[in-house]
Parts: sequence; C-alpha cells; structure tokens
Amino acid sequence: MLAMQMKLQVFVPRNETQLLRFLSARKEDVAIIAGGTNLLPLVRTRKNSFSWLADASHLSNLRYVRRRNGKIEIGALARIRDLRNNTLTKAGYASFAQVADSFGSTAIANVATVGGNIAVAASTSDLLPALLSVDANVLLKSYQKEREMKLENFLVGEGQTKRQAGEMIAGVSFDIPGTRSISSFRKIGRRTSTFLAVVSVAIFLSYDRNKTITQIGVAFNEIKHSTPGRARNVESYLAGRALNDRVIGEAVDRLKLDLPIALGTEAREDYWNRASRNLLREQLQLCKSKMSG
Amino acid sequence: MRLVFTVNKRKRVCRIKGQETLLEVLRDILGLKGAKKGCETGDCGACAVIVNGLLVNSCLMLAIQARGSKVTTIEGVGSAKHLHPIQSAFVREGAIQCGYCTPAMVLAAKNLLDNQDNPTDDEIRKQMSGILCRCTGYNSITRAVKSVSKKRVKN
Repeated sequence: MLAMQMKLQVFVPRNETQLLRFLSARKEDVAIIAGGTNLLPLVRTRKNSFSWLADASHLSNLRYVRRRNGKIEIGALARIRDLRNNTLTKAGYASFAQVADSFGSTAIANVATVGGNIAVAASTSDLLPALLSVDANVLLKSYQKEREMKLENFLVGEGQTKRQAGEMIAGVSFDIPGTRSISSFRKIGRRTSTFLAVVSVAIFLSYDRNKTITQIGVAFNEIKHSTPGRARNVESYLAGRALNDRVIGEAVDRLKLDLPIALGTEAREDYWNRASRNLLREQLQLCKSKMSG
Repeated sequence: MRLVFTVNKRKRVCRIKGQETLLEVLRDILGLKGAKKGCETGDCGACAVIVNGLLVNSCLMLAIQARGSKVTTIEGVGSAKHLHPIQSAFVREGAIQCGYCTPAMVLAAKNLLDNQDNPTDDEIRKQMSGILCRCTGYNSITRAVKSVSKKRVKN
C-alpha cells in the first residue's frame, strides 16, 4: 500500500496555472503524476525523494497530437495509445504507431503518457528513440517562463534530464515530414507485455528523386553513457548516399563507433552489440525496400 | 479527500487518503475484492479494471485520479446466477484453475469484445498479454474468448 509513504500528499490542481504555481512553490519536493506507470512503483519502493504528488491527469489541455505551424506537436499528457492512429501516422511517421503497438500491455499503453516517458529518461523507453530520430524539441514550462530545447540535449544520463526544479515537460514538437520520407521502429524485449526494451532502434529518413538520403536520424535506446541517443557516426555516413546492400553493410560496421561505453558485463555488451547491428541492418533493409516500392 | 465516481453503474462517494490507489479503494473501502493485488508494479495485471472504457491496472492509478470516472469491476459483469457469456465460455473451455487472474482476464476480454466483433487469435493474445496466468495456460483462455466472438458474429 502506498500508505507506507505516510508523508506523501497529493495536490489536485484545477488547471495548468495552479499546477505551475504549485511546482514553483514546492520545487524538488513535488513530482507530477499522470499515467503513474513508472512513478507509483518508485514510490512503493521508497525510491522517491519528494513528499508531494501533483495530479495532472485531468489537465486535458496538455493532451493533444496536432499539426501546427509546420510542426507536429504532442502534448505531455497524450497517452501512448493516442499515437496509434492519428495525424502522426498520416503524416508519415509510422514509427510512432509501431512504438504504440509494441509498448507494453494494453493497460499500460492506455495510461502511460508521452511526458512521463520523457521525464523518466530511461534506456528502456521505446518512445525516446522514435522522438530522437525525428530530432524532436521538448517544451518546458515553469510559472515564470517557457523554454524549448533539443530532446537530445535534454537527456543527460539514465534517469537524468536538464529539467529544472519548478519546471514541467509540456510537450514535444518536430517537423512535418516531406512526401519522400520513411520511418521505422523495432525493439527486442524479454516479454512483449512489459515495456522494457533490451535493444531498440528508430530510423527516420528523407530522400530525393534519386533516392539519395537528404535527412537521416538513427537512434537507439542506449548509446554512450547508457542514455537513449543518436548514432551520429552511422548518420553522417548515410547522409548523401543511396541505400544499397554495400552502404547498409558499411553503416552497420560504423555502429561500433557509437556503441555504449559500459553496459556492465562482457556478455551483455556482446549481446547488445550483435542485436543492435542486426536490428539496424534489418530496419535499413526495410527502408530500402520501402524506397523502392 | 472526497472521491465521487461511478462503480458498476452505481454512484459512489468515498472519503479517501490522497495516496490510496484505485485498487485499495475498490477492495478495502468498497469491499469489491474481484480485482486482485499482485505485483503492484503493472507486471501481473491481476488488478485490471475498466475505467471509462479503457483497461487499466488499478494498482498503478491513484484513486483520486478516477474522480468522475465510470469504473467497471468483475462484480459488475454477470452474476452468480446469470454468468456473462465470457464467464460461461471460461467455464466451458476450462479456462480457469486457481482463478486469481480470472477477473482481470474476463474484463480484458470484455473490453476487447466491446470494441471489436471478431478479433484474431493474435489480437486476443495481445490484449491478454499484460495479465499473467501461471496455472491454466493461455490456449484455453484464448479459445474461450474466441468462442464468444464467433457466437456473436453468428448471431
């Protein structure tokens, strides 16, 4: 029972302004709860350092997936299930539908939020590689100001972000893709109904009439420093090239330059290296066949 | 805190502590013991209930988050005298042994069939995948759900 945390109190804001004011007053002593799929297990094991929960789950103005000003915007309270069939997949970002389809159990995907997934900043997150591959920005709000930064810069380590005390994640945004764009996502996990990816990769690419890659994002759930991140060496090799078997082989070889520094054990590193190479090869081949089709 | 919500089509008003989960309120305050306490981390799914038409793990939801919601627990599905067709199918197909996961399984099946007339085996297994069964096995459960959907399509 959560009552084991006898000092834990819950604040129910009526609107976003009330929530921001509360965050501003309580700073690091408060955590926002919406989906709760990560936060409540944390509280149960007493791994929390806060004594307040602010319930944002009813703030419907933060739940959206929309096109605006040439961007796709996703609100922090959008549920993972909201990513399945909507403007995102119609816009060509199939990877988000694939994330939603493989994201844990129905009961988890029904409540887990985009904002929560970003805040947790876990290497097991499915959503983060997909967002990184499209070079997403994260929007942060506090009572006094708003600021936006690249998600890639926002994530600094396992469970660590650049969110400041009193700030909340309000949403993410990224460009609407051109007509010649492809995205894909695939993960390997131990059990399909849990949301813990061992290895996952997301790819987003745009290409021109000659099928030369003009824009590329390749992101894994674990790059250097055990954080979700982009495989920059793979990306820089693929940019300006057309996909063929030789190019794909070379791109996969370059992945070793982007690999995690330390995963703990040699066996785990060996598994991760082989699995990530195979996933990358498979997804690049898939992109190649989609470009041909 | 004061919680007002609808449980099994009946309006309920409860006095709760802010940190109490929906599972705790259902079981300990309302006496609805169908939803089971298992892992409390969202892995076993034994606590699953339907909130506003969506399957959720009630152990991962604060009760206060259910304010104004419509909650369906297993007590709101069929009765001892008149089983719901899904419950009958579970009996007929031998999809129950210890019964610990059964309330969640039945609710997950109901939630699926309420939204989809004729799900495939894969869709049924995907829907049930968040609920662990450690004695019956998933084949008979899938068969039971399938048999209800087949009957529905026939009718």
